[in-house]
Amino acid sequence: MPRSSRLMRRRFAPAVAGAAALALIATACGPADGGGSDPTGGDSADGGATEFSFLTITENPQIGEELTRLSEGACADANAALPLSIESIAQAEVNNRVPLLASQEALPVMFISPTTESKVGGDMYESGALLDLETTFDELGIMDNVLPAAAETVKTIYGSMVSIPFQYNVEGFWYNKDLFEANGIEVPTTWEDFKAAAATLDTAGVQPLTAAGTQGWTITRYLSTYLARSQGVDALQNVVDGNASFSDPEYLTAIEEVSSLGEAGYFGEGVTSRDIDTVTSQFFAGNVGMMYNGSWTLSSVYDEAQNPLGPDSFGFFPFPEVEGGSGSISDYPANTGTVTALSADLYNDKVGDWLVCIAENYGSSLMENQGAISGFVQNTEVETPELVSEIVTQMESATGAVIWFEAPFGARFGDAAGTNAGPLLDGGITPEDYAAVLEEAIAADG
Amino acid sequence: MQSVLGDKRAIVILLAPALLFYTLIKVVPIFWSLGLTFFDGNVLRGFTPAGFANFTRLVGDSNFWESLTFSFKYAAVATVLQVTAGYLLALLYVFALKRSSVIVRTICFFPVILPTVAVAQLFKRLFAINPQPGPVNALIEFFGGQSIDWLGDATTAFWVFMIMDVWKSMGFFAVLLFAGLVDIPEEIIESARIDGANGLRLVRHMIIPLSLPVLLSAIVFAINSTFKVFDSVIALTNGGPGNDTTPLTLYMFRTTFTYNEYGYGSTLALALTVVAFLITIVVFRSSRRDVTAAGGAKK
Amino acid sequence: MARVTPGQIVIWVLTGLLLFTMAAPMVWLLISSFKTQNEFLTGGIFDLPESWQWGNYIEAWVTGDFATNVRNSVIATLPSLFLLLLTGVAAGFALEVMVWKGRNTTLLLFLAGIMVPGQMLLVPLFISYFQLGLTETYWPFILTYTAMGLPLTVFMMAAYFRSLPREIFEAATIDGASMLRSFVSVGVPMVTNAIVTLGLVQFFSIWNDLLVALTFVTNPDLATIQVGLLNFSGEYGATNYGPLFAAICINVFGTLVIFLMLSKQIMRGMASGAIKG
Repeated sequence: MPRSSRLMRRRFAPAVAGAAALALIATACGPADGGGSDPTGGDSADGGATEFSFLTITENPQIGEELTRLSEGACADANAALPLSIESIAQAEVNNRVPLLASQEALPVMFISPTTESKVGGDMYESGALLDLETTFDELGIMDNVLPAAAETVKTIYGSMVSIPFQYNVEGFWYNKDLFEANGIEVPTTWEDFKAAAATLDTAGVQPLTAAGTQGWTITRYLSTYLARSQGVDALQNVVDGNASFSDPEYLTAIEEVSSLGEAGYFGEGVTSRDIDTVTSQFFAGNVGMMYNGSWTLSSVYDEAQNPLGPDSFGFFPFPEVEGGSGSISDYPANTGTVTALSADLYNDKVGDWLVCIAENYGSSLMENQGAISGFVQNTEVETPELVSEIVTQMESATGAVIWFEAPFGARFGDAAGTNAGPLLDGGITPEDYAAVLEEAIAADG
Repeated sequence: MQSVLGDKRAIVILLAPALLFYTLIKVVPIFWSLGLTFFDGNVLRGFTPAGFANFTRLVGDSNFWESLTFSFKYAAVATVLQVTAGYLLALLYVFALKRSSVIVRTICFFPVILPTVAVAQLFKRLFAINPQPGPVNALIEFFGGQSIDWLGDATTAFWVFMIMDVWKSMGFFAVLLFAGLVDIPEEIIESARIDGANGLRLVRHMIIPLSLPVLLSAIVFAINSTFKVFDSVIALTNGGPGNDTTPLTLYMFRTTFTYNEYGYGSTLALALTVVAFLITIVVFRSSRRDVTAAGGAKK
Repeated sequence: MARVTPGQIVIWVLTGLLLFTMAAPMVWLLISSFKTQNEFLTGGIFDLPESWQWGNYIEAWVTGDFATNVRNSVIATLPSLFLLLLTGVAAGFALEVMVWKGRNTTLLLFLAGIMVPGQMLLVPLFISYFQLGLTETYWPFILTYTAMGLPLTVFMMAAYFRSLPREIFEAATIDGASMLRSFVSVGVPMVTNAIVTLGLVQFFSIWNDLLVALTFVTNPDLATIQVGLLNFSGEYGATNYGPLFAAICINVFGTLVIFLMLSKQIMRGMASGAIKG
């Protein structure tokens, strides 16, 4: 107690409880007018940032760690002019907090922004809070440090370059090479082969697939990618534009195909309540043939504690082609992680210096220190493990970006698609009803 | 005497600090939020007057009615189970274990101090179906039954919630009620015993009436916490499968912060508050009436 | 020696069973904190770890700076608890023991507060605190926890005061004691038991709170333990269970010590004659 009260006195010096409480009435009565102090590092005399403040999510320490490393090394000059300061909020808080900060004109220089609201037409985007990175990167002459596919992915998903591609992930199927070999299965390139492979594993008593009902995306990605293969990469955009609907026969086919995998029992028991940790541990324990997941899984593949079988036992193949479909197997489902945006208001030359330094160094630094892939070009040669290079090569050969199922739609759609995905596999909801739920959500999102 | 019990200065000194805190930090924000029920929009887009649109929408919103029903069901069942279990425990402490009850009381209080994330993990593992059957499913299989995906189905998930709630909070309610029970003068019970009252009769005719104020408070407490259940739902099922285990609190939270509809979210919050308040008033009124009749000291 | 009746045996067996259900999860928690990720996920839930992973504790302590989190939780909790009990007990007394017009309405006003979902207060409070420059300090914690705990504290204290015989206070006033004095010297001692119980409950609800702790503070230097636990979750839903449970163990068994100390307090309160009047 004495220790805590000493600490308190230091923090609390200026304010007295009563006064604070009284002042609260004053502000509580009227709407906010933006007259408060600004603790987030903005507003120097010439406008713009006084520190390189970054609001990240607690669940992703990667970007913060790498920026801290750069601030002590390659970006020391930029850091001296504009010191890096990192704060974090929980991922679940982003939707709530960031718009609130924006409304109080209290955004930091760089921040995680809510996905749906950052798209063209979303509240964050339309408020003008987000810096147009394409223009800025062009002005700074650093656009050639961004992988074209990564830039394309950002623009496809959000309609504009609103996010710095600190991450670049492709997705597809991870598979157990040993199980494939033991059962004489070749890597499938068509949907029919894929189903045949699953059937072979099933007959051999091996659970062919795994997914997590508590993380709906591990299931809804099957739908979006199947649609991209059968209807082309614009499949979801056509729904947004009102030219197609999930109840259309060709769209319903996709839902039925995925549902039939579940009906056949390929995902095993209890898929609805399964969590992602169970999924990865099932897979790396060698109990499951295939798992849809992203390239970020690489870090687990090379982690001995998580993968006792070793990296040689596992491989990665792209989502198979659908016969007669208008999509191509070289269109990759891709994402660039959570939106990391820059504040349009706080941008100045010093922020620009930071961007230049990040663009030039982030790619190689991240690969060297954390073995992860970003959307930035690697300017210095970094030795990479085999599977990593293989995936990087696949990324570079990508011809188009397949956006994820929920991306072009609103928040209600995201919830509806995700929470009903598990039941779609275990028979809790029929494909027709699933399509209807999606259509309802689209209508409610407006 | 009456004038001393009504000493204005003392009342102000005793009541003012609490009232000030409460008014500024709770009442004012509540009215601020309630004001939003007549608006449409959010902090970023700005607010536009919407008249009674949010209220008409509420009436026709099937998601609202479904989540309200779930909240009702949850609160009703959980309150009954929690308070009953807690009361039985408290009776056990006071009349069976007597002074040696400290250790039991302490251990039964353990679950209260566990963070929700740990409790939810525990129950996920207990009722797990994969990667391998958890203890509950193992038991079912041992007796020749089929494993059940407890959390994958709304009905079974509901009972997992109930078991978890009772397990987590019965020690708490026991302590709460215990504090009321030990205050019953022993002489009263003794004299009733001498009069031939025993066991159940003693409990029904002496102990329950005497501990009624605290018992009713415990019920209010239980309704309050179960009607506002939030954390454990998020941790265990996240409202799924579909919307089947989504209580009104979660629906309100999603509407406000995920769908960014502050006006409608506030309307849902108002509905939640009104419903819970009505239930409480009923319980509260009955408790006040009882005391008034017994004590006769009112007014 | 007293004869053991069958009824007593039944009670002891039931009590033993009860203790097992309540204590076993603590053992599970402790065992889990020494497991590797794979053991936790694929092993039986009461299996012992193959090798005890002390590294989990090191990781728990280093990740997210656990010592800072503990300090912050203490600074957020204790002053709030003190203010809460001080103002809440006094208000409960004023509303139940003292006689004045409008006290039922005021009690109802507090009662209404119990029912308001905390999520509803977040936006107005955030804007207010922000405009006052209080975000990123400990003030939002202390003010919000105090206010949020008040309805329940006032309501429960009123209930406990109600269960006391009113003659005691009437007698005190006849002796010429002022109401403030009889509150301090008669009222408070008679409800020590209840205050400790309620304090305990409020302590844990504040200590385990995530909603307020997440909303008003983003500076990692001010993060509480519950916020710190998020460091073990990943962006794509993965959780690092070993270190997470190690952190929870430090938290739980740390607070357990406090709890056991307070528990003695309850015992002492019970033993003293004041309670039984």
